[in-house]
Amino acid sequence: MNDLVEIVGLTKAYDARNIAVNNMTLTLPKGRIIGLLGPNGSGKTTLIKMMNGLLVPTQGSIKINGHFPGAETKARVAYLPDKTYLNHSQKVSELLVFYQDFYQDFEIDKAKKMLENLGIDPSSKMKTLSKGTKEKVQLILVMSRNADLYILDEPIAGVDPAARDYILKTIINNYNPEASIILATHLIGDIESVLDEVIFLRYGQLVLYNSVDNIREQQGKSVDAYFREVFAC
Amino acid sequence: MLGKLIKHEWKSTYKICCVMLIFLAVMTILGCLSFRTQFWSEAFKGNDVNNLTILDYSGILMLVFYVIAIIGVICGSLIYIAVHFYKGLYSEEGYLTHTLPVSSHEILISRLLVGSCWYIIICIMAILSIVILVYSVMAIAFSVTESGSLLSYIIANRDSIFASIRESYNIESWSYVFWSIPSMIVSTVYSIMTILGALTLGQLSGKHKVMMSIVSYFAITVVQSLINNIILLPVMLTASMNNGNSFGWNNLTIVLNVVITVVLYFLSYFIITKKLNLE
Repeated sequence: MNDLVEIVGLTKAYDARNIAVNNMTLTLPKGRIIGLLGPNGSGKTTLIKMMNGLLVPTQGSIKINGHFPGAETKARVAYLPDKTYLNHSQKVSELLVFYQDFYQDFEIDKAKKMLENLGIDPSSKMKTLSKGTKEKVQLILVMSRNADLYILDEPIAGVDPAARDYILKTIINNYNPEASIILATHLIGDIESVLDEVIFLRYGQLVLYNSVDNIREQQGKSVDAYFREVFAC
Repeated sequence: MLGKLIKHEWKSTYKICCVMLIFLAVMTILGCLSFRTQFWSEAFKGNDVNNLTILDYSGILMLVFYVIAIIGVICGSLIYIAVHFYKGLYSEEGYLTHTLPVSSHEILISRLLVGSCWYIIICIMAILSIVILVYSVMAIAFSVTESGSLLSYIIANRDSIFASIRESYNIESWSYVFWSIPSMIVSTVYSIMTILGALTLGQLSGKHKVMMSIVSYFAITVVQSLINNIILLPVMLTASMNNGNSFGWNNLTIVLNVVITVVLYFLSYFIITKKLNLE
């Protein structure tokens, strides 16, 4: 079986008027880099949170590797939230030990090497680092895992273009080819070159799930251009 | 994984808790020193003290600070534990906590155990501090009225002193003291579970989670108090008067605290697994 994620009739309603994800059904395969694209409020982060067990669906289900979100899936999913979620009073080296303790697939030497490449001192406390450097540390921790699924929520939004290139290079070079990456972002132009497939979301509903090659072939334009056309205001 | 969670929870709390303990030790030393002034030695001799020096005033002021510090450290430790739980579970750090490959039971138990341990350590140290201060005062008072040291007097007269304490506090046997330890542990775990439960109940609110947590904390405390003082106390007093029931009110309070702790635990587990909504 090549399916990694199975989403069936998934709905998340905060209240009767506020439906963040609406009756979504989707199956995602292994070994793909998938762009999760949509305007603000389209339900990207809500979907991601449900996949990580941080939100409980109102209806429907998600299965990752055949399991509902729980301890088994969390052991195999590497998640980068769109927030600075690490303890600011800890040193980077302490965070490496923390990840090593909890994630069996965490490769500490790989993380140390990436920190060295970026000139980040492991003895630095998180609170002394700039916002961009904190985001790089978070990404390094996530990408140093040998996970089945990487879910990255806006990994390049808060950093400069040079760092963006490094981050994308890090993502491409450090993921297991058997694994899949779900990459949620607004900055389609910057990531288009690395994507295999894209998901378009609008008002919590699935608008499109297709391969990048198919979109280019069928629409005769880039994903970025097609996105702008579909979501034109 | 529970062991690892406890280890990291302990590591992330020990610095602040140790600072509180060091502060308590410093205040105990200053509290003891505050009695070593002319004012107190004259007072212990039974003399009137009219001309107070700056040192005497400082000593009295230090004693006031000592009392505030003891109360402050105990309340402060509860507030610190509450803030630490909130940050780790329901703020941005919660994104990491709730995506660790551990069960919700392990997350709750690790917090409950480490929080209870620190609270009990701080309470025991606060009691020890008071004992040291009282001993220090008694030693000064003893030295101005008697010859020799207080410690040698206590050792020489230990049997009569212990008998007097047992009589004063109506302690039937020392096993009573031994059995008060589980009561203390239950009371500590109940206090910490109330904080954890209130913070978790606060997550049910859409926008005012912190306010809802504070309201929940006071609501739980009021409900516990109402059951304890309005329902259980009269029932036990009536039973005691009618048939000399020896199952005391204190024991019933322990049972009530255990029940509330268990209810709050499973309620928190249910909310984390079924209603979690991290923003």
